[in-house]
Amino acid sequence: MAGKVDPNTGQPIAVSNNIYGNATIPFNNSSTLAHHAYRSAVNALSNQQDETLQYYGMNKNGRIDPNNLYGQRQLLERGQGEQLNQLTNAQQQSGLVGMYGSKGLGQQQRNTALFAQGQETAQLLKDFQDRMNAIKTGRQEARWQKNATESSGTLQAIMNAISAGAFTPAAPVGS
Amino acid sequence: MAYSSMGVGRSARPGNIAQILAGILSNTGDVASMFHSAGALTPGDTSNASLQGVRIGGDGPRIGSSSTPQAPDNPETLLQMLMQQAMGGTSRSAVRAATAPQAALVDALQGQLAQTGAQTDQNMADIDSWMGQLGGIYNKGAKQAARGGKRAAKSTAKLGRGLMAGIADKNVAQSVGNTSARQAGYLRVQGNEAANFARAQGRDAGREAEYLKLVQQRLGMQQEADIRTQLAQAQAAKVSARSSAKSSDMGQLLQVLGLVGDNPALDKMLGVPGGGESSYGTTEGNTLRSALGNVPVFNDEDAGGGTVNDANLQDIIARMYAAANAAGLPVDSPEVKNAIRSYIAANVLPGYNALPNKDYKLQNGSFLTTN
Repeated sequence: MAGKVDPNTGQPIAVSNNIYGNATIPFNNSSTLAHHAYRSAVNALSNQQDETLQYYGMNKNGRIDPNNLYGQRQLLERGQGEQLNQLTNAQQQSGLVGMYGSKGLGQQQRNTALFAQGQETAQLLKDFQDRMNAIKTGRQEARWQKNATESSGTLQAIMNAISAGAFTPAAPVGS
Repeated sequence: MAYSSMGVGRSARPGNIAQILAGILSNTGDVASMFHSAGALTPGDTSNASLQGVRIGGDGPRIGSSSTPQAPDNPETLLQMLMQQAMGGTSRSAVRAATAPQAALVDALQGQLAQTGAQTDQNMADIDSWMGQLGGIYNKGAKQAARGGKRAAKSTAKLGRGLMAGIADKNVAQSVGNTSARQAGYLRVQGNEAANFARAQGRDAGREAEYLKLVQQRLGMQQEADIRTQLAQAQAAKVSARSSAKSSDMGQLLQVLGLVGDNPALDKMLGVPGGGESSYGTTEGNTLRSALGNVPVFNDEDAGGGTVNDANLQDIIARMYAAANAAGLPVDSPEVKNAIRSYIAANVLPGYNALPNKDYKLQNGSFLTTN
């Protein structure tokens, strides 16, 4: 039932109309259905978020999860590190100056590699952000749907009651 | 005709016919001499002073006026009949019994009318309460949406900051930050939009409540109008039943008085000739109807606000007989006498029965007036 619930009686606390006291909204299960649908959706979204964090190797604060060895972020970092090592080794073998090719052609090759890696990292994180954003949007939508279901069901119950004339019986005149 | 011009106002009038007759007895004394020995109803003589003395509301002595009481020497049985008829026929209990079903229906409908109004108020109060609670749901949803949007935006910004902290490439970090800010903004706006929409729904609920209350109010008014119609019908039925009861009693009273049917004792008392035998044919009938039709039953004074003292039952009887006598008809014959009575019953009494307040009219002696 909509509205606050009296902790003593468990009955809903209706809005006072200051005429004949409170009138309980005609019974409807829209609130129960809405709550159930909302909890199901939130649970599914939470599961989806956990899977996403696990897949990308991240935690909810955007930090890399140190306990996740096979996340997409870890794999990407690992691959990029190996790529830079291979580039360094190749440059040393080819006689380019510097341990990391800090000047000249070596630096140019390294910058090219870093740019490509940055693009890959940005794309990975963008995908991660989009998925997390979709989950948050889903939570908002679920909350909205919960309120919409509850309010529309309550309105329908009210209209049904009005159509059926199921009002509170008036006190006998003169009593 | 205004009541004040009739000589006896509402506050002064006696309650019933019994009081009238008692007043006649106490003020005029000898009824027999009044009607009979004084020749008040002698055919052709309508100006006898004694007759004026019993005209209630007229110029003569009125009820309650001071005159020396005299013991009546007329036949007591007839007076007793009149008294009993007057007292019994118009008693409140008899009228109440006759109108009991209609009165009960009127009471029930009046109760139903009041209850319908109370229920309409209750219906509108219920709608107020229900729609108010629905508005509460909308407002709660609005708050949750706004709060959820802010929380989601804050969470997204925090995620973005965490991601940026772990990125050495400032270009990548910038890209991540931009994405985070854009998404946080979207989530915040989305929350606000949802909140605004929910608030608008709350306002709509308020307006819809007013409309629904208006509908209930109109339905209630329609129901009340229906009940009022039934109530009016029931009240009319009650009045009709009361009138019928009164008319029935009055019919008996008039029969006792000799206006309808035959009452030789009263004929004798009133000085009406009777008992003779004579022929009575079509010619005499036409002559009689013509003569009676010219009798000025309703004088100008009765219609114009002058002194009301002519529309009196006894006076009318006297005029009728005088007119018949003047036309040369044998007024002592039973046929003529019955024809006069029939004429009065057919042409005068309906006017009386149609009067809404017969008691009042009767005691004022002006119930046969045209207005």
